[in-house]
Amino acid sequence: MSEKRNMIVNFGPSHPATHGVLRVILELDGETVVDAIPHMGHLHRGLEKLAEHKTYHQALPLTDRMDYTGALINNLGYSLAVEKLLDIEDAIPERATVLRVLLCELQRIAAHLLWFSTHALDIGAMTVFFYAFRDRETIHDILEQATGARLTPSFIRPGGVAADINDKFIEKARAFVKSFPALMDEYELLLNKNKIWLKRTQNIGMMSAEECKQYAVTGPVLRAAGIKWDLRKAQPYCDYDSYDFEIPTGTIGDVW
Amino acid sequence: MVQLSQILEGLKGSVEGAVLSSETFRGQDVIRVEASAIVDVMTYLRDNCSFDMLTDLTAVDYLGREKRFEMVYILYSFEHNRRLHVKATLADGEKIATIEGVWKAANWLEREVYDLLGIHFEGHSDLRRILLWDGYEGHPLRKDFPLKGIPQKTTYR
Amino acid sequence: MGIEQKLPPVLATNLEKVVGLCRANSIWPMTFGLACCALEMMVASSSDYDIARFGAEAFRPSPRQADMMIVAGTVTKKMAPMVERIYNQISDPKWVIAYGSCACSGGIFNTYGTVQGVDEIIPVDVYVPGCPPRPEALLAAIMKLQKKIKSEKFSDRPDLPKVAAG
Repeated sequence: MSEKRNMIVNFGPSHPATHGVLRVILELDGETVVDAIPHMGHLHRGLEKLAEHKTYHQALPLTDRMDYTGALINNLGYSLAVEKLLDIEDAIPERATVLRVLLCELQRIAAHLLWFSTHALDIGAMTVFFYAFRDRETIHDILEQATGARLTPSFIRPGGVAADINDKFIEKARAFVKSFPALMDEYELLLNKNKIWLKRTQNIGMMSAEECKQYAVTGPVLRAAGIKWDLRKAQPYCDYDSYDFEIPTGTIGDVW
Repeated sequence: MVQLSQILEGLKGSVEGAVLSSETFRGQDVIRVEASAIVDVMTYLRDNCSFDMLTDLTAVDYLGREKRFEMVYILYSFEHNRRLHVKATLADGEKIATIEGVWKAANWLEREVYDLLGIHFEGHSDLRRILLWDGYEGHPLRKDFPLKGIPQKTTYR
Repeated sequence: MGIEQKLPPVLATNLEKVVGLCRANSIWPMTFGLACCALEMMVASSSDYDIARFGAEAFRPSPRQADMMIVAGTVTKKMAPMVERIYNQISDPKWVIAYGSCACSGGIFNTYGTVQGVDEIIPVDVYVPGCPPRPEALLAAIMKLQKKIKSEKFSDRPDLPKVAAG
């Protein structure tokens, strides 16, 4: 009579916790996800096909919209590829290379603030969202000062960057860099003692280094699993080897 | 750092007749292999040359060539910090074996290639469309597919 | 579909303004981010732009509790049936803002995968072009929509059965 059965839940494609559109069919045993069948492609806009019909310069704005949280970083990846293909890598001015790094790292912080705040929002810690977005706005102000656009600048182009920066940018960027470490402490205070957040992240979704390699997972997930690997160190581009930074690594590769 | 010539030599020795040619373009090493030997080649590269990650798997449509599709496998080795591109050509309708058993990452990537270019992977555990819906007609990334698409009989439900 | 049907028409003409005012100042949007523009929609609800000043901060995940749908981003052909269905699930009266060039007209994505403007599948009240539009543009759109709602007459809504005169 009372045979134990798992529950099938349809999650998405429009769901407040997906941020973008993803549909997952979940099999649940109580609170634990036993199986998940993802359905993607709800945002398949045909970028590749569209880019085939454009010139190298015309295809640049499309790269902004591939990962809209880190538009400049996508611009850079595309530009580097075009430059490599045309064999003009050595002809890029040094100032442009430094600017690229500056802008991309700012964008990277903004992108990290976005995932970090919305992930906390989704698992029950709303306040962080407002704090992180306040600071993300500061970064977007700075980026706007340099590029003229908030989200999709198309600023880094094959051959260099679109324009030079001005004094206001330098002033704002300096101020932000100075204030940011204190802000990070603020976020930590908000989350590190939040019991709900801890319970929902610690020892959840663990992935070993071997699994990461099998599934071709890189970036923060791979580093969390304990492998000290960063493309900026392993195969430096944009003179990243002349910058001094450390690669943070974890040990067990869970969400926390 | 392992040289390309060393990899080629080992590959020629253990998987007979698989390697067709090789080249280096802008610092990127490319090996062209026989499509029928793809699983053996990949297994050899993983086990003997420590290429432990499949970075990307994709295909290109060269419409007009006798063998119009070219499969592109991009491998990465953590140990040697180097990449390797393996390519294999396929005619329209020709099938290629799945390398899902070598790297699990190939599962979705092969589904994507199947979806957008219509290349069939033999032995794939779950060969469904991944981006477009079931029942979609045509494969959009083929060069003879119009940019604005063709009218579809089925819609997504 | 609501209070106006239960009331005698004489009173309703005066009530229209009151109802309009209430509805305009408590628009509950439905969270419906599809692509890039969704980020700017989120920014509009964060502390810097504070959408709450216009009474529209109560983002609802369920269409049953929402009055307005902000279609923020590209509507693909795969997503289109869901957009339509969710719109149908919102109870009347309901409004739609097409936020961003893609939702307005397909934007730069004139390809096999995208719907050329969300108005091909659902009626749109306010169009906000831009790729993506700034958060201020969303606030402007909400103000524009409020103006529209305030001036709406019960008899304007075609989905209502006619109230008998006398």
